[in-house]
Amino acid sequence: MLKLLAARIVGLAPLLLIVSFLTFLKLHLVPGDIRDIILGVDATPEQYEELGEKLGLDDPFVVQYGRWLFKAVQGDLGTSAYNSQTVVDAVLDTLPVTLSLTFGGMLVGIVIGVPAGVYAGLHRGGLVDRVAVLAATVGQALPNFWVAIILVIPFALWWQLLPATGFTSPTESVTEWLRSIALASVALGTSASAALARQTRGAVIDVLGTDYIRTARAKGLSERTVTFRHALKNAAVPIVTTIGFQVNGLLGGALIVEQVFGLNGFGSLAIDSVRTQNIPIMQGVVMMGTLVIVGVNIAVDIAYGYVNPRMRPA
Amino acid sequence: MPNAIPRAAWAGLVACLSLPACSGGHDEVASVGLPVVTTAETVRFGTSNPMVTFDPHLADTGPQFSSYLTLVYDGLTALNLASPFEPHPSLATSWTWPDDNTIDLTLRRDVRFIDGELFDAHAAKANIDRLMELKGPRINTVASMYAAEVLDDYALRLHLHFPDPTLLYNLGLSPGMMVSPAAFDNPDLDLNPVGTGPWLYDRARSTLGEVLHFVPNPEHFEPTYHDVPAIDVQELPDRRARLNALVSGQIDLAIVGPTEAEPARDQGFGVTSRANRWFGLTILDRAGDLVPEMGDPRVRQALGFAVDRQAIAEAVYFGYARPTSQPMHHANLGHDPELESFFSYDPARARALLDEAGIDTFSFTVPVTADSVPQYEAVQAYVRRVGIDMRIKVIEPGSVAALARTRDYPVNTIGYPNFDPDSRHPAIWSVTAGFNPFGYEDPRLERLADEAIRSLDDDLRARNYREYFNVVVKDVLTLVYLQIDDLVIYDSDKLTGVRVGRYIDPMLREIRIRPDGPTFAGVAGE
Repeated sequence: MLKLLAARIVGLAPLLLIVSFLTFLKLHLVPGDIRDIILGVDATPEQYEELGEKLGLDDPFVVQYGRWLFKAVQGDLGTSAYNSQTVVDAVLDTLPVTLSLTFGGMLVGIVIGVPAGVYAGLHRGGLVDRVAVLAATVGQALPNFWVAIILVIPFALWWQLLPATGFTSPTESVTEWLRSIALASVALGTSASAALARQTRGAVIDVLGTDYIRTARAKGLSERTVTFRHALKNAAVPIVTTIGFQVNGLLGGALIVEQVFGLNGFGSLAIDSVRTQNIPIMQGVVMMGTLVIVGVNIAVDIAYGYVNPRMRPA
Repeated sequence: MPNAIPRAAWAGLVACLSLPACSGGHDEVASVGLPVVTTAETVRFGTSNPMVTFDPHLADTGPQFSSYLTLVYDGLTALNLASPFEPHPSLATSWTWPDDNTIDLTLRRDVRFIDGELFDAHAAKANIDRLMELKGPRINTVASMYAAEVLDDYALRLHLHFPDPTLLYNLGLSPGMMVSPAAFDNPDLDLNPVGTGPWLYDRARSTLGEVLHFVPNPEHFEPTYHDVPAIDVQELPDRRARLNALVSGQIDLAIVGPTEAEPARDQGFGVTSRANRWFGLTILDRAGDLVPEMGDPRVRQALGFAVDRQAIAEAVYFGYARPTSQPMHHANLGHDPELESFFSYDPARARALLDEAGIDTFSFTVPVTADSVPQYEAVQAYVRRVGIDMRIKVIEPGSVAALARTRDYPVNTIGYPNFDPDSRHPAIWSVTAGFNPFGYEDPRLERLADEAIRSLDDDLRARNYREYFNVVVKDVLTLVYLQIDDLVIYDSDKLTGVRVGRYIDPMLREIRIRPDGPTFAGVAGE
């Protein structure tokens, strides 16, 4: 396991280098100019040129990227292009919001999706199975931002049971934290639960058709033991894989859902930084996003080893 | 029975999630070392505009000014919506003009910055010096001033290159805001303001990008501001999210667009507006270098007569816009009542103008950001009927101003403020203007503006700018279709004095919490 971790960490450096270069390049190609945002509409051409020189905007792309990289490898991701807020502070301020939403969405996905998939798989062809398959298909087809808008209307606007916007840190109040992420988590978790239900159902059906399950039944083991001790454990590998994919998907989905709920998360920071050409912040967002996704993938790899000893590295 | 506990737990969780009281802290806003303020005593404002910098000398005027800077800083003068272009006393209590190129300011006594430093003429001079040294975004609005001189501890003299009728007004905006000289070198001045303003920025309770919390400055010289015990400025980028937040009671006022203002009004919330900007086409290719047809004023006029402005105002802006033909709003310098309906809706006349110019049909492309596409699609449909093929190129948000500085397109769609012609001329129509990339020169405009900008004679300024905008409108150097409203929706049961400022956001300084009960939620606007 340590070898696996070491290999992943060694592989992270070139990955971050490539990602940072491509991000810098793409941001460089985005139309617009930060000077219009800083100076406003009444800026004279002279002010425009002076600010360009001050910010180094006239330097070649490679020079600008090199300048950023030189500082980044020393652990200095820089400050916002507009003020002295450090990139690290900006990212760390918003990360808890997005991680909360991802956690909430995943929790909703697992709590609904896995039991539904298991039950549907165990009762293949039955009414519950058909309803579950239909619900999963619909659930995956619904865009999460649309679900979010629909949820806000009754729960926040009509009945005012849950807040329509804003985030409360769990360090302030756990209850308020749960309330503040509840609707967004359900909106995000809808598609995750649908995907998990479909994958879980398929995995359970596959495992139930294998020889060793037939052998277990032939040995006279109870259906409960066959299901929980033998079938589900082996069906867990594709489910863990799906959870890994879904976490990454939820991180992406959170970018849009944060807008609907006015949450100052990673997505809002990313969108703001692109809109305002704030390249240092955007680089920080992408770097941190890359780290989180790589971290999730490593966690999934570790989980494989626990659910299936044959997949543990020698 | 084994299921009883989980069921009870779930029931408790659901009940707790549904009740704000369970949180124990949600209804209170506490500040370090300051009394606890309830949300009922807090003005909670939802805006899409982030706090960029708390350093006024490096700030653009605009939303920064009204939402953030005016809370924590005082200017040498102050602005007042009742007479918006008259400078009012603030840190300078009075002023005289010993000659056309000199202004003497008498400064307020017994004012201290929040770091304890005394405000006096030496501090004011240090601020003016810093402003000119830093050359921030608004330096061009005080370009007439070249030096400040301390006459005595509370008298400051400003030396000007030329007579400047708008200087005192501009010293009520971000360039004239006073920072404690002891804080000039603070590396975090842009995040930690050190002014004399009526509120203190509670950094410990604020999160940049989410919510900024302000509490009263007990030392401030104007105690009526303290009728509002606290202000929260919440950043909510999505307009619909701001409406939802108001409806669900999480904020008290918000900037919105027409599509949110109508449902808010239907639900009994107050709606207030101010026509601050114009909607139309800024003609960049005024000599026809890129699109030869565009060089003919008759063709540009055809673009004006072809469009039913009233229909667009009603269908796209839901009535929160008014047809016009001129850039300046009726309350502002340069407005000419006779120009208001210069372009009536007359497609036959538009077609005749094109025929007169010998043009059957022609095409041009206009860059439009996604949120403005409906408006320009409406224009597109109208001009197509007279034979003009206006193609819409959807561009990235934030790139429209940058494109206005290039020769990539013959027209641009940037929405300008509809006041202060002194600032608009050097930005749009002057031969050296940033938004005149083709370098089109009209000597009449240069002469009229030069005279007006450097004159203290109000009559001359009004006369020159009226003539100036007659040229702009009739030669169609900018084609204006509508004056459009900036809109603020608010809880009229709680707040009074909510008015949209000239810089998009509401004037937070003027808002008060209503001491009595509910009132009529009406619509107000200019």
